[in-house]
Amino acid sequence: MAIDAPFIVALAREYYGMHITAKRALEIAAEVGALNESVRVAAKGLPFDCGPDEFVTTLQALTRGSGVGE
Amino acid sequence: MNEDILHRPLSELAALICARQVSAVETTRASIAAATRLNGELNCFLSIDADEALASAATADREMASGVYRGPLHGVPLAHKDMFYVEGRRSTGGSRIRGDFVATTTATVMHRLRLSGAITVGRLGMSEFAAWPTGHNDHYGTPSNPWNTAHITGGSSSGSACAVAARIVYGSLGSDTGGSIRLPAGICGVVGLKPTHGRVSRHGALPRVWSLDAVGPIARTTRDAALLLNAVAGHDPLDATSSHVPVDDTCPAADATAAGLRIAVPTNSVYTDTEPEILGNLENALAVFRSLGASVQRIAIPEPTRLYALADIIGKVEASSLHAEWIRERPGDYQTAVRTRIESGFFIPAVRYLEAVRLRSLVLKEFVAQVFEKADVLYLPTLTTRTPTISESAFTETALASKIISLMTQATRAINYLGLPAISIPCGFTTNGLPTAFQLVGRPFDESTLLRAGHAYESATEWTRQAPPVCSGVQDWRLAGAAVVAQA
Repeated sequence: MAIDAPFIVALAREYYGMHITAKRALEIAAEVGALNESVRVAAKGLPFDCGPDEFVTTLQALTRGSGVGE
Repeated sequence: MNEDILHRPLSELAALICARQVSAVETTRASIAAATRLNGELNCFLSIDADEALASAATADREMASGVYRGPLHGVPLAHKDMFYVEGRRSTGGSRIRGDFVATTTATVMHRLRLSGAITVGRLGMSEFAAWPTGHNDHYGTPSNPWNTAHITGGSSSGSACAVAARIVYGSLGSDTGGSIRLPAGICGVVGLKPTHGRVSRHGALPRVWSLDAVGPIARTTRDAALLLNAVAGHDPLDATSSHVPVDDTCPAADATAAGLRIAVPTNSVYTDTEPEILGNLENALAVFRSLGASVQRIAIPEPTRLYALADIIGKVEASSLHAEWIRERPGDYQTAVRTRIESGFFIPAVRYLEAVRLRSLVLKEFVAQVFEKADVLYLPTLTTRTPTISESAFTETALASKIISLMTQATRAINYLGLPAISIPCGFTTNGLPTAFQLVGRPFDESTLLRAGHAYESATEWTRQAPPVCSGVQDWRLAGAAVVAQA
């Protein structure tokens, strides 16, 4: 379900103290909706125990000469 | 000494300084003169700090006279994107909001460059908060492309690429979150290197997106870029994200070749949808690599649009977090384009952001396995379209923001999500006289292979030897060499 523009306007006002026009909220809704869907699809099957801090160790493990992934 | 010395690449100048055939003061004077002469037309400098630069140069010369030589950057005039803090000095980040900000710390990279003996000529312009890929800046003016001043330099390291291309300084540090080193380097016809995530300290550098930012060099040649990288790379106790992976000498040997290099070219649209004239230059460059003994294979790579979206989620959320208070309290002090870009991050659910972060290691493994099992480097365009003019790429309405960003960064942004090193190398011109460039992407911490391959290509071609029309006199530095030494 896409995030809708009136919700964005209200969220901006109540949560962030920002003013967003209705026109801008429509643009944000479209942009964010598309991004959310892309990531939701990409994350299907994401292993339960895969944490956010593995990236740096993975980078190091994949260096040339590490033997991993070569 | 006239400005012909400025046409030598950094590596050549270093040898002249080491041999005391030219002095740091003479070279710095020439740099300052060029900056003063050209800045009205190019608008790349926010400040030209002549007195300080000459004082540093005099110190460098005294050290040389007393037998102290700090290395290849000793006495070399540089200038940097105005986002690297120096204690006690202004650092605007290209913004009005930070227009009067005076740093209370010194960036590790600036400290390391000072220890190397490099001279800082001034502060270079940039896109506001490093957040716009064309280089437009409503607060300080938009830098102009030295090859055709009606055209953009690209951003966000706009002033850096401009000043290096215009032969004002020999190199510059920039930052790259979605292409901000590679794009302006490619658009201005110079070399830009985005190192591996964590390769270079970010302590004291204005953040744009913590998870994606990289600091790296813009220079005229790959050897010059390597010398700059050598000086600043390596673990920093002040930056917990900096890597402990040892830093080897990344500077390629003068006779380094591309023999045996395995190049992977994507069959995906990120390559094939490149504008035909640019694609032609990219294919010509591949032919050069083949002639040097490299092999080329066409492969499908993991879909770049997915990687782009993952990077975009992270970029938007982290930027909105950084700027939350200012967006709320000083929205009118942002360029509309930059505020537009940042504000959508407030409306992305935390769960989606964390999914994008958690996916990074898995996606990286998949990418490396698929691409680098049979290849040493991945070959991509830097910019897939012709370089627009400043006026035709000006921000006119909020609905177009995403399109502009996507068009400019479609070949660069995914690499930041992966954290891989990538270098942009000039590979010719379009018929309207503007540079084109290719990217080489490598394995984590394999900047040496990128630089070696780039150097081999440079040695076989002439693109990095050509100076833009805005430079006075000499268009090919090889002709400048004899005149410079004769005057010494």
